[in-house]
Parts: sequence; C-alpha cells; structure tokens
Amino acid sequence: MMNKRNTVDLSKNLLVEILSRVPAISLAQFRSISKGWNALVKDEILSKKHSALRQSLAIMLINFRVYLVSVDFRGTQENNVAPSRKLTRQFSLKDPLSDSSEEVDICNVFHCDGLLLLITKGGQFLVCNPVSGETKLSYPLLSFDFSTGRFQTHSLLPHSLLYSDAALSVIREDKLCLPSPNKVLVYYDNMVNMVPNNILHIVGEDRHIQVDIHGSIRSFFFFSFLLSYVPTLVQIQVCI
Amino acid sequence: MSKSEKKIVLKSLDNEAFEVEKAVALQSQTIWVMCEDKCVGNEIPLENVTGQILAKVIDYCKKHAVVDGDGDESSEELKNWDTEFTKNMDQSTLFNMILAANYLNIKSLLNLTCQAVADKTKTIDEFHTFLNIENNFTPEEEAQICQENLWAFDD
Repeated sequence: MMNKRNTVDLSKNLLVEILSRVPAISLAQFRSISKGWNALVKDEILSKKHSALRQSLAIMLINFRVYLVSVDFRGTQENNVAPSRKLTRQFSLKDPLSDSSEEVDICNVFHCDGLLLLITKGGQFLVCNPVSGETKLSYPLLSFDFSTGRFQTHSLLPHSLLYSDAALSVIREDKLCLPSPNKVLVYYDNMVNMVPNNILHIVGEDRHIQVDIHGSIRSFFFFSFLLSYVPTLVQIQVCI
Repeated sequence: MSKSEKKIVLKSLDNEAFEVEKAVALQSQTIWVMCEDKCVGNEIPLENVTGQILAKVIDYCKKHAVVDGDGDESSEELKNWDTEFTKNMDQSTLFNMILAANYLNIKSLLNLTCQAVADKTKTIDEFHTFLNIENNFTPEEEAQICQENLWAFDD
C-alpha cells in the first residue's frame, strides 16, 4: 500500500524475492543503500535463494593488487585487431585482523565460486567475497601424520604453491563428489620442504583429504594472472 | 451451479467493485481460503489493494485462467503476454503489484512482478525513490562501504 511519502514498504521476504533475481554485481552496489541492505547482501537466506544469471568477469593481479579487467572483443574479427584489455577497478583488500586502512599486498589470487583465495606477501591466506565485502583469515592447513601420530603444519610459503581454478573445477565437478563444494578449498602443493610431491589438498570444514595425483592432471596446472571471476553471494565458511 | 454462484465480487480498498468468474478469482490462494471457509458472502473485501491495481491483477488472472482452462494458447504465447503485461508498468505500479500478489497469494504473479522489478531497477536511487529506506550509515561507515564496493560500479 502507498504511504504518505508515496513509497512502498516491503517485508524482508519480499525484498529477498526481488533481490534474489538481481545480479550479484548490482547487489554489491546496493550495500551502500542502508545498514539493513548491507546486512541483507550478506544474509544466508538471500545467499541460498539467489538465482540471478551469473556474469563472468576477469580479474588480474598486478603489483600486489587485484583488479577487475574488462576485455573488449568488439571489432576483433572484422578489423583483425587484438582484443583490448582495460583495467577497471581495484578490489579493496584489507587485513581482517587489523584496523589499518592500508591495502594488503597480495602475491597470489585464485577464484572458486565467487570466493577469492588470496595469499598475502606475509604468507597469510585470506578468503574474500568482494560482493558482500567479507574477508576472513584462513589459518595454515594442518594434516595428521599417522607415522608420528602428530599434526603437522604445512609450509604455506607462496612459492611452494601452484594452484589452478581450471583443475579445481575439474576435480570438484567430475572427479570427486564432495558433499558441500562451497565449503571446500582445494590447493596443489608441488613442493614440501623442497621435496617434490604431487599432493592435492582438499580441505573442508571438518576434514582434510590428500590426493596423490601422480602427475595425471598436471597439464591443468598453469600459472596465470588473468582469472575468470563470477560474482556470487556464496558465504565464507572456512573454519580450519 | 447457477450462473450467480459462478460469479464473485471483489471490492477494492477504495470501494471499487469488480465482478469476476469464480475460476478467475480462485487463482488467489487468499480468496480460495476465504471461499473455502465460507467466511465471506458473494462479495469479498480486499482491504490492501486499490482498484487500479486490482484491475490489473484481474487482467492477469483472466488471462491465466483461460489458458489453464482450455489450453488454446501455448506457454510461449503466455510468456509473451506476461512480458508485455509488465513491460509498460512504471516502477511504482510494479512495487504495488508485488504487494498485491503477495497479499492475494498468487505465486506466479509474484514471481513475474519480482523479476520485472529486478530487471528494471538498476540504480540505488530508484530503490530510494520507491522504497521507504533511510540511509542510516554514519559518514565514516558509508565511506568504508563505498570504498569496498567501488569495483562493482562502471566507470
């Protein structure tokens, strides 16, 4: 019903009905409407109901900063010109444990289902959803060594990691049935203490699976700074 | 069933009366429950819907009742009709259609109108214009959010 100011009051349920059909990138903009809207974009109900078409974007890591990149293919076929690439906006990435407004230096970035896994210069793992603006620190991964009966911490130095979202999606969708893919991180550790290995780590909320890939999917591993990024409302659930 | 029993009168908030086939009105779960409970006579007061909006809701229900009844029109044609139906509605009408579809509990109309608003409303200002929202951020909080979501805006 219209009220005095000629506006309508919608209940949360109705707002969710509308916003679940709005692309995630627009929802990122709507966070600045009010505190309530900012909370709604991070809300689990909207995250689960969100069904808008997913837009595919590209991100790039340059000088320790993550940028959104737009690639323009117009005229490439007729005029035989190379596609033009334009850096648009920089993602604002802060240390979640610090009050500092300084940007964190990022030396590696990976994407899975709308979440960015970022490795900072200091060797920290951050998981970030740029749409909701949430950033969480992911703690160093632990694995259980049956021979010694002890937990051990993996070396997480950036140079020891190679990671590919291409391999990640292959594994997630075809090779292994994981009960809840949104809650899983996968990374490829090709060197432990300078000894080569081919172990793929699949880390979920309450388990850590190591898969020896015997080089079988090695061809998928390549290092690229241009990644596809598909904004989603997936919530960060990393409790390792 | 006599002819009069097949008709039902819907009365809007502003006292406009619409006589419609019962089959048309019963697409509203709210009206269906009212009729089932026999808590109303042949005239149903709808206290949350204006005559202007109710007329549009009835248009929608008539179209969908006919198709469900005799199956003359393909679902493709119906989809096109739905698109045309919301195409020329202004934002204010659409928001009020959402409220009416929700109150009358007509799921397909709610889906249609929510999708239309999601497709048409592109800017923050449009939501501010039609929804009763107060920007309750402190200047510092607003500056922080604006820095965080800057990437999502076009140049």
